[in-house]
Amino acid sequence: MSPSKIKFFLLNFLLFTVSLNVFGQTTISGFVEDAHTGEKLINAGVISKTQNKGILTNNYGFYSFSVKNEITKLQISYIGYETKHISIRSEQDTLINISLKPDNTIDEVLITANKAKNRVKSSQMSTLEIPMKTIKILPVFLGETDVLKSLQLMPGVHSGSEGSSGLYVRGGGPDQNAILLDGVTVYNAYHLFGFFSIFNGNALKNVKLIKGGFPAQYGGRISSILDVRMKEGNTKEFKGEFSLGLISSKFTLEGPLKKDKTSFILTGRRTYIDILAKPFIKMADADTDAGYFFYDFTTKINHKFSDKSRLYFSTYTGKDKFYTKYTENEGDMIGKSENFLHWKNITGALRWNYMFNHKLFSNTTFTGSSFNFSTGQKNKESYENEFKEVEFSYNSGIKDISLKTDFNYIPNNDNYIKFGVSYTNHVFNPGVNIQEVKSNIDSLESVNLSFGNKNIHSDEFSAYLQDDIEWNDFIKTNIGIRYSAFYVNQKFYGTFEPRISFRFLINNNISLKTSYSRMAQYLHLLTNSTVGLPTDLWLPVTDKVKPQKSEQIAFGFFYNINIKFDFSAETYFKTMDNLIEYQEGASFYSAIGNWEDKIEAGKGRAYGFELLFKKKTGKTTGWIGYTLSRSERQFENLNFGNWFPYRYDRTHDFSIVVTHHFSNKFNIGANWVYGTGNATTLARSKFSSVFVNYLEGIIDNYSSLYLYNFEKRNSYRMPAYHRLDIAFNFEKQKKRGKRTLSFGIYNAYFRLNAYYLEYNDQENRMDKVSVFPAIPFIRYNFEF
Amino acid sequence: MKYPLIFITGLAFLINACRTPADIDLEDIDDKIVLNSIYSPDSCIKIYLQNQYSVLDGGRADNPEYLKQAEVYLYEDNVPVDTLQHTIDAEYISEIYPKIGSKYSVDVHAQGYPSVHAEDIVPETVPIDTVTYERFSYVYYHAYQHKIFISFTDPPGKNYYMFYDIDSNGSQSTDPVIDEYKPKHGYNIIFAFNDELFDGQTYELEIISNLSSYWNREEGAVLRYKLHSISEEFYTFCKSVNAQSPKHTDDIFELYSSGITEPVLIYSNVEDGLGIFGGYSTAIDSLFIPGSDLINTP
Repeated sequence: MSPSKIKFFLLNFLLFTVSLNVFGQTTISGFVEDAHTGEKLINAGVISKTQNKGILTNNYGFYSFSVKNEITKLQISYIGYETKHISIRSEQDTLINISLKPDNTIDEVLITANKAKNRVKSSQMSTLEIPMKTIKILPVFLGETDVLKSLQLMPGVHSGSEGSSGLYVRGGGPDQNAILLDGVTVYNAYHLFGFFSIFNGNALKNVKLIKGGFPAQYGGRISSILDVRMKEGNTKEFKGEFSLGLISSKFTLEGPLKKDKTSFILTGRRTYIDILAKPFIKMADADTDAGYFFYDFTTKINHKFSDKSRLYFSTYTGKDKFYTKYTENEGDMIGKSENFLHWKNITGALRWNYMFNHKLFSNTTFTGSSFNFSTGQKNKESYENEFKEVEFSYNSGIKDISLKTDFNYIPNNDNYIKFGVSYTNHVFNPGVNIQEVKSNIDSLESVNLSFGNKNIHSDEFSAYLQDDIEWNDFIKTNIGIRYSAFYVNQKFYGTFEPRISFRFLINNNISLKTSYSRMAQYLHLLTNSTVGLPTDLWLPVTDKVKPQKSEQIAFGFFYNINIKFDFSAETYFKTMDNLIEYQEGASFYSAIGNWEDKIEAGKGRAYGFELLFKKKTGKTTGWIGYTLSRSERQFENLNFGNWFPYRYDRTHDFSIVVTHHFSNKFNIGANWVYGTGNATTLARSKFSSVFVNYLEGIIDNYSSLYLYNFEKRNSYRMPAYHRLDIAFNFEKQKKRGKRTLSFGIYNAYFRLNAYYLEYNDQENRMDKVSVFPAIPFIRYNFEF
Repeated sequence: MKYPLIFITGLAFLINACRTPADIDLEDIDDKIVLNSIYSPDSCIKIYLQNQYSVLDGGRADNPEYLKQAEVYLYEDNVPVDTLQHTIDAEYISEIYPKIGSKYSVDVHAQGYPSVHAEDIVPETVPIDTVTYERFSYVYYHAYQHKIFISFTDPPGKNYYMFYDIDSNGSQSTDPVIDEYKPKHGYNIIFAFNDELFDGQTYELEIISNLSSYWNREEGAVLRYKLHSISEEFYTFCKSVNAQSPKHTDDIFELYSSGITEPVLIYSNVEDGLGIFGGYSTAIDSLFIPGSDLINTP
């Protein structure tokens, strides 16, 4: 599309939407918040029964609703809160902030039913949201509440490998998910080699995963958007929470710095495997020390300048470290060696919300994000006054600085326009080896060498415009266009990304939806496909490595059966271009040569069918999800150019999630999952072949070279995966707060799922290695 | 004390990975003919036939199953030219000396095995134009090291080569034609490469030769170099073998199981079978280095 055509399109688009503005109406706008904490409520429903229209609050609790110059009754509702009804006769635009009272005793039927109807009526499809309240009841791995693991229980999403928090969404890879914490990109969202996500459940307000039908406001990745929003902090009173788990403890503190004006929230978490294991390691070998820990801290401060203006500042810092230390003393000679592996995420966001008028709301954000991975070895030898230190390390990482501004313009109740621009500067460190020698010995020269890939600087830009249009009672569309661009090494890439979603409402409880979206991604994650480690490298597109692009179409059927049950079915087809993989036999642990020479570029396709049946109300709630899917890859130089199953292709994926409240004091959560085993490459046979002896320089027909015959890539399946997790939660109201004691078991019936397969030469068989046979957990939580 | 006990119990579960039999049957493999033959105009065509064996049959490598009663038919440019005779072990021999530019194909039938077919050409010999050297100041075991320059003219079109430094004690190269995953800095006296970087041009291949065993050769030394022109099939096979060969450990499965690398599929041009049927031709040239440039006299 040429620039002149774009201008023409935008001009007509704006004129068209403005023409829809109806005179003789006024606008009521404001924020919906929790009456007790002041937390803004995301996606709260503001509904006019008289006009049969409704709107949802945005990510900052803002709503804008056009009413006629007559008495209008508005109903404001949100799950877990009392519904509020207000009657308004407004002759001029009015700002009304609405506070909703939490009420755990309320029958949630009405509210949930409204929510379900929103799902049916919305133009958005392929979106998953699990309330934090539900996530906290579900069984958890080693006692750690994990939003990513909860999302893995939904159709179209799975974990990849046992215990992992990774998200594989609709056949895409883990790099194809934009993981946004308060709008800031998080590059490695995992602790403990992927077994835990970095998100501390106590700090989170809302989690939304978009799998398809992407609104134009989202971009940068081709498979999914995970939008995680942190709490803002209680503006009314000081509150806190702490919990003790098997391997970690965490705390949350929040409260007003100035009542109703400024608030903060602070959360922290640290594991103590290292501290608890230290005495046992010392007992085994006094000269050895080894350990692993991770910690993370989140902070958020927000200040309200006025009803129209609010400033937020939030940060996240998290680090994982694994180390071994060894000390050797021989007389005056002291030797120390240390091996280490650590990775660290830091993000920060400064956000300014401003309401220009009753129809126009803006959010401007300045963010920074950094991810660093480092591994290596340090050796120090000292003898009397002399010393020598030798360090070898491998470092990689990425740093971003970003500025973006987004506008919500609501000209009337039939149009919801969003537009915005963003700019990001990326600095990639694609892997550098550093060798350093320090010494005070005269005969030894100090050395400080670094070799490997140079840092790569790049700029990313995007702009979007979208309108959610309600054409009539039946048809609603979301039409948008996004333009993204990337500049690196004097090479420019630009992509138009059209997005459209269409909803046809058959009746108030049934709708059909379809969507098309084109996505572009200018970053690649180069990963050794057999493991998911922080060693995976984030890399930019270059003049040789092109942007990843995907196109996805989806169709869906949404049925709100009654106030208790709803059902949805979706099918999708997705193509992916310019995917990258290591060349066969290549690995990350070498900075020799350019990384671009180690990779292959190819394409992928994924298609599937997803069913979701939910019970929303009553003492027993939960869902059943099923996915039938296929995900394949093709690379010219892998598998001899033939299509092969993606490693995490999962034909069948089934999950049942149930929570049951026996009383206000006792509830249980359980889930059972079943999935087809991961695709894997196995050699069934060996054979001898032509001997090209590189040492002797011989090419010989008569061979002593034995080769493994792997036949086809990923042509075998690991045994099917299934497990049952159960959690029991005992809640008690104490004098100073609420205590929750949770215990349960992960993999309750001891299913030995395969983590990987290994040849057993002694027994002449293939073995599966299982890492989590059954793991009990216990957690103590106290809110005050 | 109670809490650490709970922790230790939990940790014990975590770290004690279980190993149990997987329900995957790898033992029942089909019989499949493994055909190996690389041939050049310098000798008659020989073909080696064996069976594959189960990856779990560790002892089989010492006791291979040769195919001794197969029918092996050889064709030259699609015309039958010979029926190969079994000699010993896996070897079948023909009386045919391959011709440059001709296509050779082979059909093998053996009872109990699917028949196999393979074909390949013998590529044109690409002569070495010149071999020159440049003495390095670096001294290694009393002898100078030398940069050796092997010049040849690549015919237009895709061509594949294998270079062999016959007489040195080991050579290194940083020449860009060498595949990244062959060690650039290690001993590397034979390597395969293609002409992507110099298609149709004269190219000067550069290696650094270690001539330490000639340290006392006052009369000088003659060093020989081979430039094999190899077929695309043979090149692709070599590339996959290189990739599967372990780089940091003796066992590919140690790498594979630890998740450090993806397993590599070995290329074969034997239809319904395994192995390689590849043609090549050889150019050879030599270089004389006088003693004065060979020996480092203190």
